[in-house]
Amino acid sequence: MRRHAELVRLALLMVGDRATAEDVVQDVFARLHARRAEAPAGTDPLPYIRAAVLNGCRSQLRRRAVAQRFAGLNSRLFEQVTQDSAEQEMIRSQERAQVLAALAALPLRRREVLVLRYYVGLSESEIASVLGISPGTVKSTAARGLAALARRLGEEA
Amino acid sequence: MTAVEDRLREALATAASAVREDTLRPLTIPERRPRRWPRRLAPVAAAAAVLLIVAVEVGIGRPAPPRRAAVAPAVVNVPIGQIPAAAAIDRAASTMYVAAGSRDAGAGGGLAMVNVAACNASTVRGCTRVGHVPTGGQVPTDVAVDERTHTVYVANGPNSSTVAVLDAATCNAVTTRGCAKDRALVSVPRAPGGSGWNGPVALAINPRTGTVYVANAVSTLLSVIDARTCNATHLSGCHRAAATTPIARRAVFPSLAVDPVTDTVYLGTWDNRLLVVDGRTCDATDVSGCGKVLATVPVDGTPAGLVVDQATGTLYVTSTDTSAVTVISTRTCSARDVADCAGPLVTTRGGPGPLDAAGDRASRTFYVTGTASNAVAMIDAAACSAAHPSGCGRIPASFPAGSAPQEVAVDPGTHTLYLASAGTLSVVSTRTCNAADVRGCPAQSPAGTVSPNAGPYPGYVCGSEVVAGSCPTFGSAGQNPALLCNGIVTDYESGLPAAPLIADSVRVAAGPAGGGLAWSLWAKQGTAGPFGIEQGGMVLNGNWYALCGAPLKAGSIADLELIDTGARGVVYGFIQHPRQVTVTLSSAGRLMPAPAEVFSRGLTFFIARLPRSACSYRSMALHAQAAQGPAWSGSISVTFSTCAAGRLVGVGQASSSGDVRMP
Repeated sequence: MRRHAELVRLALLMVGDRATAEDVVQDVFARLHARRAEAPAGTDPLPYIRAAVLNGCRSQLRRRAVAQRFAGLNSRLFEQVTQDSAEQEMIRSQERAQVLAALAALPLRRREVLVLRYYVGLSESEIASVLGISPGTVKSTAARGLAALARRLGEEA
Repeated sequence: MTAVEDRLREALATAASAVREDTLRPLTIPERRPRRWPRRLAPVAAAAAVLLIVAVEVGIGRPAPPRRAAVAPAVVNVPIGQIPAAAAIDRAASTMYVAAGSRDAGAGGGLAMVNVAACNASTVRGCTRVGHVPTGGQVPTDVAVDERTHTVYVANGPNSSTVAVLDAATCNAVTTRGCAKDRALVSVPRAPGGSGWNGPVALAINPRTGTVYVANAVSTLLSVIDARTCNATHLSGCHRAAATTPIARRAVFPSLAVDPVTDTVYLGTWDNRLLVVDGRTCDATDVSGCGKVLATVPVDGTPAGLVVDQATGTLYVTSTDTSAVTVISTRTCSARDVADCAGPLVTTRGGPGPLDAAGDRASRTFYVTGTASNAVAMIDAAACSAAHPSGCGRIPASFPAGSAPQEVAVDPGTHTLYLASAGTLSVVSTRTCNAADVRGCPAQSPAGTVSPNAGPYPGYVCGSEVVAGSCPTFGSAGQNPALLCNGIVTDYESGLPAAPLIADSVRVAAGPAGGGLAWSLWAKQGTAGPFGIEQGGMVLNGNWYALCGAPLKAGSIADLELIDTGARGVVYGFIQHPRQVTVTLSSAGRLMPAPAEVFSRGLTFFIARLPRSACSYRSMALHAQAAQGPAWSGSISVTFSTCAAGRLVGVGQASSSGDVRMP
């Protein structure tokens, strides 16, 4: 898959650990493989595949929520798993870790919108297409997400 | 650009840069997977057609066709199409229409047409002659027949924006003279800015109101076509685009069903829900209520196949990802009454990876294709319905059906079940192969296709569980490995104090485990059958331990777990089988002490103390045998990779075998 790494990066930013991110993308790839082969020239299945990856991430995060209730991992999960993982060196900056932890504490939909906008670089209408929501909702969700992030980081949005 | 935006952008870019192309695990393509959009309308149409046809037949007193010697089961090698996706039958035209896509962009997909008068449970002489006709889409994904007007509607697939309308009288298995001439294409609007993969993929017809409902892929839109002005004889309405309304905030999963009795539209979503829409304010003449969701139903898994059984007022929803079938009352969860939509809902087994389904009223059987088991499971609708859920949760009888069987359709007139795959058409008599009688079921898969014993569904082995997703990796060093079972993280919780984990369960059995240990078995309240026990768990000296079944190759479920309690380990687990089974345990070829056994709710629970510490066993094998029919024997062997004292031991590898042998 040409976009393999890009999709794993997207999943990593949603689920917080690389192994799960790779699993999510592998699963999506397996499910969509037959369909992708049939994409006629000129159409771009990438937005659809992105949506499938985000769905896979949601599924993972829902499963985690069950365990969090018992283990008290709460929103430290993202921080913890990234620090435990091989990516630790890349994210050793305290400041970056703070931003990521604050991001991980946001509701899922806000996190998805912010990652698609500030990492993938999609426009509001493209995000709307991927998430199946209106461009207006994308705009308001992004604004609320940024504001919440700023509050947590003690900055102005 | 604010400071927060800057920081966010930089943090995301840095975190993502940890993923380098050259360090990624290569992607692999599973050998067997569902090959198309797992939505289904055809079973809905088939189920509705069953009832409609039965009613019409009884009403006009048509004589039954002469009985001939049954020739089914039979398998015919015949090209249906590269990607068969749905099937529907028009009995007046004696034709089964199979929507089948093409991988070749230049070739296009269309309909394969089988003459059901010459290819059924009584004769297979006409099975080899299959007609093909293009429908204007490369990957048509759904087909439905309106038997009142003998009109065939075809969703032309995710990369199209049309629904094809064909006249069954002039375009069928016998003649194709009208296939091109009389065809109309209805434009179905797509969401703006889409990927090009959000076209129409699922259809459902309400013949009473003359409405064709259309769901798009990756979309929030529900479209409506007026079947009274756009059908085989009247094409005037076909030139107008379908009326489209935003229906959901989240993208709907392309599965769709209509219950004409309550005038209710059911739509699946990606996040394991069904949306309930009132067809009285969302039909061919009035779309004012199309955007209003009356209720949201939590389903056990992503809804893939939806079948309405009007006789029992039941909506069956298959979920390929969880191997569950959710059983919903269409009387108390509909446009008229949403009292029971919120659950708790009853679930039953559909065999591993259930996808498509079709009902046969005469034999009270729902046939469900098992994409993970290469089998067709037969759910007993008499024993498992919304009104009578006592039999839900049982292992359904099944028969081998070739590699990842996809499409099923039932012709109630000839009592024939059709199974369509890319290169084969299987013909089975529903009289002699159903939930209560398996004598006439195929004994083996069609030649050249995979048999049910070829191996488990490609997935991830987490502990002893094969899951469709992946094993979660959280948890600190020294803690249990996480293992998902029924959507619950089980091993992680195993060994924790029992009280909060069994708060919603009832005790079904208890006994001593020797050495001062006491065990009890718990079932989740409100969940019938073996599912209840699986979701309950075992309590050993005040601590809770999960029961987590792994499907055996023919669809039975078994579990084998090991706990290290210190000096002597404990082994426990279950076999899900309608009769009590005898369990024998061995390790490295040496027999273990016979375990204590309890049979309850279609599940044999067993528990034994081991002669030594659990950590001293590298592997364990379980052999189970049922003395009473349906005869069954099976085994599981596991190799333990780690050992954590006082905790559930993680399983490194698991292999299983076993089959339901038909008596």
